Amino acid sequence: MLAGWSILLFSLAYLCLLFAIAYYGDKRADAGRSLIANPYIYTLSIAVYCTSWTFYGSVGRAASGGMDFLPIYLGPTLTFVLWGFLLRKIIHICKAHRITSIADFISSRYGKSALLGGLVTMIAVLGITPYIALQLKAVSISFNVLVNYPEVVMPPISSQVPVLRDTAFLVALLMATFAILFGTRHIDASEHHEGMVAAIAFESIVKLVAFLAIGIYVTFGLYDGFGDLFATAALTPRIGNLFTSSENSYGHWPTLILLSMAAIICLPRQFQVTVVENVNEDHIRKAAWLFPLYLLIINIFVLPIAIGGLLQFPDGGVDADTFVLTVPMAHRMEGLALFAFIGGLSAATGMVIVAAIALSTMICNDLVMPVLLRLNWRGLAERGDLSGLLLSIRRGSIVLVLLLGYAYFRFIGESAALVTIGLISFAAVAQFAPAMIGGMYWKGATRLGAILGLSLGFALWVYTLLLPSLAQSGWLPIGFIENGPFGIELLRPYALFGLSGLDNLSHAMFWSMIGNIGGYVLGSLMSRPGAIERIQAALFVDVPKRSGAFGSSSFWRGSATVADLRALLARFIGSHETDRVLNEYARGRGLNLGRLREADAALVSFVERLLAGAIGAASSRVMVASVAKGEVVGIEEVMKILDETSQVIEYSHQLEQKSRELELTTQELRAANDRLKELDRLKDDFISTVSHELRTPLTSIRSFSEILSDNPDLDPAERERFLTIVVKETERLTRLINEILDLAKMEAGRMDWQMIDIDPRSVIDDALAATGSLVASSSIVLKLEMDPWLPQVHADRDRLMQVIVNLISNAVKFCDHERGEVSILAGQLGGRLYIGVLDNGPGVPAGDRQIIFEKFQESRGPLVDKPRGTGLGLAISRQIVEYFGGRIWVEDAPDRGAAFCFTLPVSRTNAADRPALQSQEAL
Amino acid sequence: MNSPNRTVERSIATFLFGFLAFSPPLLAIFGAEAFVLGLPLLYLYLFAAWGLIIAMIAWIADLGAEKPPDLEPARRAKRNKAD
Amino acid sequence: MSRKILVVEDEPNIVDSLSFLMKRAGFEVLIARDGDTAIRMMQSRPADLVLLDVMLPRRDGFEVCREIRANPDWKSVRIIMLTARGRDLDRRKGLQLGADDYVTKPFSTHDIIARVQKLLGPEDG
Repeated sequence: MLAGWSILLFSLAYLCLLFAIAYYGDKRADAGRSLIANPYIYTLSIAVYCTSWTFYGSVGRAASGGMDFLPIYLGPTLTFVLWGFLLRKIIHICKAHRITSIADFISSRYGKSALLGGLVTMIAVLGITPYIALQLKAVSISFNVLVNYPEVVMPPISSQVPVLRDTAFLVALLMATFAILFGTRHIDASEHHEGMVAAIAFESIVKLVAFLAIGIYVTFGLYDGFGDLFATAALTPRIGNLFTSSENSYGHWPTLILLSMAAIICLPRQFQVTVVENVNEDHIRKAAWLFPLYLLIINIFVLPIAIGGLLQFPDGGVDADTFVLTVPMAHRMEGLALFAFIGGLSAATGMVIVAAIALSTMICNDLVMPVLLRLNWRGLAERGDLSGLLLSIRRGSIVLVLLLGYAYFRFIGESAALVTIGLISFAAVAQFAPAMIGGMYWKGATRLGAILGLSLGFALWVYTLLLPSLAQSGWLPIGFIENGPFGIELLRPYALFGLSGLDNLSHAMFWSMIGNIGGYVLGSLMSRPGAIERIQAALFVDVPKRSGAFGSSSFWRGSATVADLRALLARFIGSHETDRVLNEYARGRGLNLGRLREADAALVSFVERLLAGAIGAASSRVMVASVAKGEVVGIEEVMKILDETSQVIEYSHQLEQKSRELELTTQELRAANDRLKELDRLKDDFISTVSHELRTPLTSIRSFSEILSDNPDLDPAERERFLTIVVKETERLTRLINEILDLAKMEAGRMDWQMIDIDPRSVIDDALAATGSLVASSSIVLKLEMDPWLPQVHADRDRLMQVIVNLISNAVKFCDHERGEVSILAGQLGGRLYIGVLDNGPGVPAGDRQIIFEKFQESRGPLVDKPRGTGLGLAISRQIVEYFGGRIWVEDAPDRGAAFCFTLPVSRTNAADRPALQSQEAL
Repeated sequence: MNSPNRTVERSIATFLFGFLAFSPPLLAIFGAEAFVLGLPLLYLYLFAAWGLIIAMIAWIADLGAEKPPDLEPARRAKRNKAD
Repeated sequence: MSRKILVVEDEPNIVDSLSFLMKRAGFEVLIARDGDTAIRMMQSRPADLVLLDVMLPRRDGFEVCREIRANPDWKSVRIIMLTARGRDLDRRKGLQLGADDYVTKPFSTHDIIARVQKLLGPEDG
């Protein structure tokens, strides 16, 4: 048995529970142990997005449009994808500037313009009115449906009932009372309502659990799960078409998604909970995915409930918007129906309370206060405690907002579906998006642009959505829609300028956004931003870069006294609170305010921002200006200073850059010069060395030739000896010249290389033959150890032989004089051809192992009385080996002496050759 | 690797993916008369795509929440120096 | 007593030719193949004139020259530097260090004998 009074009792009890939670939340906040300082409560408070629209309206929409209810939740998800640089930036800006509403945000961005703040507030109030009407309608209908339990009867149209007996009116008054209790108990400089947030979070849990309960009941209680439900539905073509027809059009989805993307940040209540009530910026990181997850979960059962309702009431006599309630009622589930009602009440109450508080703050700070201050601000400023006045204005605003909502419901919204009403609101607040988002990323956007854009967008919204809805309700002649005003077809509100083929909402969004964005961009481009605008633009756009500098972003010239500022603050936020914040400020900066008479610019700015929290940026500016002794603002002056400063900074920056470049160039030049000097020295050394090497044999040749010529009386043996020396030295000279030429050619890259695949075995044999006489003339033992199979290499045969000959003659020269021993090893090493020539001489000291491969650098080892070479053999060998892609080095031979070794890459044909050879052998 | 820029890039990519996934042409394709696991194809598709996007937000947010990676080597270097 | 000439040179063929020439001209010839040996030989049997090659192993000709000039006992010793590096720089350096003459290789045999004889003066003087 559900009598009217028992439902009312339940509802009141529930609302009292909410209030208790809010009260407790506020107490905890005052005690400094915040109840809401975690991302989960934060997420649940953002879920105030889900209102009666979600709870009742989505099901109604699904019953006629299938999945059409969904895009409104996909949009916020996509916005939250961008939390990292969109939402976080908004929160950051608002915290830095103590922004308390979206009107404050936009006004503040465009030079703290009171006009803009007022405009935004008006749009918001008018735009949200249908939305509040929607909530009232939902609560009143659900109440009136439930009260007839167990009968399922659609309630009468309220306009037939006197206002004072209309459930919706009573609901409106009740909610106004609660909003006043929740939101306007005191004026807080930071505009935080922790208790309210806690209550909203609780409501979000209730509505989620209630909706899931209905969904689970329908899906698993009435049917055998999703499969059974959908299969049953598919039997009825009208229902089945909702989710399987390929004829459904999705053309309006992008509009709905974009609209809801804008709404999730532009709706005053979403701005309130997401931005203003945010206590920790990092909470958004978790909420970014938890909130969309909440949306997903609450939407899973929308379609099943809609289908359940359609199957339950096939004749269409029951409004689909009430299925959440009527389906359990039809099955006599008294408790569940009541729970559903409480869930719906939760959804509606949450929205209304937050929206009313947010709107009342805007009305007070951005509409009423600026007007009052303008009319008689000196008189106002002279009054004592103003916080009472502020609270009264806000309370009055809340009542006004709810009455407006009721009026819309009663006179216009009665006939329309919940979702349709809601979308009108979405379209209105979406008008804020260009000015808001643009202002955060485009410094060039100006106040004029914002005003123009908002006005045009709003006007077109009124014309293409609001007026037609009035016409449909009979408040304007229906001909307005059908034939256009005064019969001008081109101006038909649903087909403006002949644009047809779009749904009404997309049509309205198209025109209003063209007007809005167009006006915004054109207005911005055609006007010059004022001084404060430029400062604010820079502060908003560069917020992450400058977050540390907010404290000093003042443009006041300090000539206010501390006492004046203190008095001013006390008027708005009370003297106790004033003392607290000022003392905190002084402590933070190590100041003693008691002794300080004149406030500096930083303190004036601080007070302005503090006051902005209570009365909005524009009003706060005027108030602070009033105590700043007419010295209002040397804005132009400050701007000039700023400009000059930035020019000087820019100039010195350029200078710095130039000097850095110069320094760099100097360094490069110095390095190049050093390199050139080094090259010059090397060249000089080389020429001097070559000269020395050439002159030495020449000296012997000339001396002995002259001796022979001057002394015809020499005995034949001596004559013979001298002649031999001349011949030997001539040969040495020739060899030397040849090698110098070779080396020069190789270094210049002008050597003719005859590169072919060579069998190294034959080259080694030839090299041995060439050095045979040299070896034979000494008492040296020559050993040869060759792998039976040596890989082919790709090389110049003569040059490769030259290398081996060089190494062998070197070894012969340096090996032990008594028992000389030279070994030649040939094999493979790491997939390369390896050839080593080992002697048993003194070896090469470790320090010389690199330089002996340089030109004219013979190791000056312990052997002084050594035979002289040209000093170029090893240098040439290295050039050759490296040209073949190999490496040459010297190491200690196993016993004693030096081992000159080199490796060469094997020729590419080898891989195929070897097995082939083996198989031939096998044959 | 997970610099703020990376987070922004990933977010934008996810956003574009989402916008595409819910675009009319794709919806028309998935709006076909078909059932998967007893669920209408479109219903399943929308919730699956949605869930995927949420998972991606969570993943990106989680990556971004880690300590800035360049801090770690710096700290190590300091420690080594101290050694 | 014939006058002594110390040939300091590491290239054997040049040593050969110089000692032949000096002996023919009537001097007693001492030979050192490197700088260290040259100093040692000066200490044991001081020569009247040193034919000093610049590019020597161990201690080069300039150093040997400086050392000879640093010793007051060897004040009267004449020094002729020989070099295969035709650089003017080397020539100036040698003369600065106190060499009496400077000859570039390859030299004329007549010329070098004339220079030696000029520096040592008539035999009985």
